[in-house]
Amino acid sequence: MSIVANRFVVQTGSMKDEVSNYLARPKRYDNIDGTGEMFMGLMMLGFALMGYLERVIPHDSFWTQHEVFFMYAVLAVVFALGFALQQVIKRNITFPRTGYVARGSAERPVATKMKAWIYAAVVGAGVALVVEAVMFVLVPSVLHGKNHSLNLAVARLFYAGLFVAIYGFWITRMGQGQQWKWAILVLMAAALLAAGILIPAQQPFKPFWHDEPFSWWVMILSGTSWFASGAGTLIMYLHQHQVAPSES
Amino acid sequence: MIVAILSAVKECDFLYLLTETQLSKGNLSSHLSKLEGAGYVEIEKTFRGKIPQTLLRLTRSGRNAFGDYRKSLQNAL
Repeated sequence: MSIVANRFVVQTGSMKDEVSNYLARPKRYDNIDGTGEMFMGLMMLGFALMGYLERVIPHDSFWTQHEVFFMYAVLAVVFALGFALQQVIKRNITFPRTGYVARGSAERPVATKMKAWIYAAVVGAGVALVVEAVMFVLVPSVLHGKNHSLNLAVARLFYAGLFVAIYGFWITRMGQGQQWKWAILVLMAAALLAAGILIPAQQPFKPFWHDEPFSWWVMILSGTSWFASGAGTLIMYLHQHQVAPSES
Repeated sequence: MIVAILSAVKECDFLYLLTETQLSKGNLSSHLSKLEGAGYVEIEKTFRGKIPQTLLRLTRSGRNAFGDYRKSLQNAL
């Protein structure tokens, strides 16, 4: 290929990258103020709250007898609070500083939207299958009462590792200037590791899916990390952006 | 650049475009006027509470034009 043709390809390629960059910006704008992370953190803390309430509420109470309703009620309240917090921050802090945007293309074909949902469902089912397959390997020795410590350690490592991996993936999708979040990830991983080591297994020994004290701590620590990360992003955002003058 | 950003959103306001493009107000207004004249962008003057707000959306012909541009980039490669 000649030099001129090469330069054309490089320039055209970089134009394509630039367009892709502009197309990706609205997704990153969602969390420019940290509200996306704070919402995720609140949801995880909501799960932890649910676990705590299940332990303290009397066994013969209305809530215990209607466990599913109780679960949805708690999660619905937490979701509503998280959504309300997000909207308050967006309206009063974000929009006056860096503008308003409604995500999602008005002209996006229905077929494209359906494709996205199908991909999400397939990926979700795939992840669930992998998790089940990994855990299924551990089940026989657990049920036969062998290798409790090893199986519990592996299960805890896998469970906590999943949350760390999700947060790590989230960080990689963010724009520039977010490298400090890797420090939060390291702290989160260290805290989860400490919890995995220090929290004793339940007695009599129960399989990993009933490893409630540890699961509870995973939700608390992950949720707190996510929320703190979002709050840090919000503080940085306030520091970097002032309220813009009115258009009039 | 302006069309690329607008193609990825349902609608946005003038301040968002100003932040994303890093253009001056006059420069951005000039570009938007030309795009509106070409029928690619729809501009709506409204209020957010008592504060004036200019909402911007890409029209169908704007999206088609951008789609054709992306295809031509792809073909050129």
